[in-house]
Amino acid sequence: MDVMREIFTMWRYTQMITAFVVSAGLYAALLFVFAALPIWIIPGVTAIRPGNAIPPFTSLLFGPAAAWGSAVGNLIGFDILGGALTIGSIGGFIGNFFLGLVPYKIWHRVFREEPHCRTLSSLLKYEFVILVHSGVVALIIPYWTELVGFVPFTFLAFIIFFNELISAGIIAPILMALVYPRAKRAGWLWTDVMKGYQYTPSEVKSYHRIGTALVFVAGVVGTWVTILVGVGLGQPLLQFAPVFAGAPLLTVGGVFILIFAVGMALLAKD
Amino acid sequence: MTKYILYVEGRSFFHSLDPRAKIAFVVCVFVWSSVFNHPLYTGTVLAAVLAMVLASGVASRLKMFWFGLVSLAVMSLVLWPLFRRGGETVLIQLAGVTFTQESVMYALAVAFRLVAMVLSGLLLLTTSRIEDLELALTKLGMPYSMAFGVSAVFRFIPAMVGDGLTILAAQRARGVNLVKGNVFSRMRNSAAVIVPLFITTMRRFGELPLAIESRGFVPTAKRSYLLDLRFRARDAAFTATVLFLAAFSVYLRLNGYGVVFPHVI
Repeated sequence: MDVMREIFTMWRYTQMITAFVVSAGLYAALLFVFAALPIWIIPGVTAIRPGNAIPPFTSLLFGPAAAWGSAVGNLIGFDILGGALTIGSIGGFIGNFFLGLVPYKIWHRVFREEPHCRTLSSLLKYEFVILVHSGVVALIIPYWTELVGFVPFTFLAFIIFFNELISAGIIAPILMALVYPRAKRAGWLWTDVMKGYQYTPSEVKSYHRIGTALVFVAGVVGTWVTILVGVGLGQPLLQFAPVFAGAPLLTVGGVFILIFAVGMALLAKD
Repeated sequence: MTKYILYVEGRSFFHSLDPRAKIAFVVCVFVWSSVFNHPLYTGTVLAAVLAMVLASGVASRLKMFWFGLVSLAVMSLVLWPLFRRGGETVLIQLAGVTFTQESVMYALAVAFRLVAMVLSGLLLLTTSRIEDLELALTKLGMPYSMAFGVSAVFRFIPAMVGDGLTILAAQRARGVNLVKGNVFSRMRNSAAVIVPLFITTMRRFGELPLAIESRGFVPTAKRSYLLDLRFRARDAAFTATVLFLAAFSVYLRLNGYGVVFPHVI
């Protein structure tokens, strides 16, 4: 089985290292630029970050470089320069890695159309990918923060899901429509640098479809089922609870993380 | 430029340590503060880190982070009593929700834990140069091309932020409104900043692969370094001490010390 070898072999290509620097730098820089113009969800508590549109956008252009770029960009822009480096940053690194990994992996396995977002079908496919990636990151990061006693799952998953979905869902298709044709002409796409990979599949295999469905179930359905457990269905928030209050939530979330892992393994298979 | 570089020149004990010893310290702070959930214990960890910050003379550099740290602590104090229920000593009942002494103590312990972790990370960054950290990471096993990429991001962020702010000012002068309107129109308008920034960045970095390869950069080649790091006896002693304390904290936890809720982290 090809275990997504491109994630590691990309470091052999100078152009991919440059793409990594661009992905990470742009993500980190935009977190700074838009910090002065917050679009509040809950005033004083959390704001939508337009920079969140960068991972699904660079993912479709730079592939594995964007996965590393999202992880490192968030680590530098949010955790290090923003003064938030904690044990939660490990979950942030992993979650943001998948933020950059899931969009290009799904696209180059199951969608034969290019992600130019200039037709309704291309736009809908891209929005589907954004929905899945929002769910995946809203499952992974809060699961970690709940596991290590950092921030409760329910609160964080809710915020992350909508933050990712709104930012990326609106901005990223505009970016793709404007930039993708130019990037393709300029030879900036990851498959232009890493030969031997297909940007879009010549044939869609059934196990890749199943893999995509499992990632969707884990990310979108799984996140919301776990959130519901967190507000009382299973985890007795509204009752006077036992001491080990996080266990039902961690168990349910853990099942969906396993489903996600199986889905990604199927997508990784050639 | 200085806004994006946290390093503060100094001669303190912590400044003089090998970056690998400092990384070990940060990892151990994460362990110490994570194994306990009693505020007395996590508070002691926080006090130790604060003492280290003050002794290193970097407290003034961290002024811009105090608001964030206080917010983090307040968020913990508000959220955890709601989500981590349990305990028998009832403090107050509000709108049908019971707050116990144990859940409030747990929230306080987590608040101390978070602030201690953030401060230890900032202590590492304010007392270590980026190039020293890059070398330390390669010596700890990170591939050179990855360490190079990470340090390049640090170096190029000021240029990217500068470009971003220039584009933002130019677009606002043209009437692009990023402050008013509903969420959707503001998000849509932000593309007017992101697209030019991306194109500018790609133009700037289009020549980078050629430039660095012409200076001898080969991602897979074995490297030699102008800088050198030496892990001295005192670095070893410091690392051994913090590792011992981390192991001891795990031992204490396993024997029931430092916990409000024994079954959770």
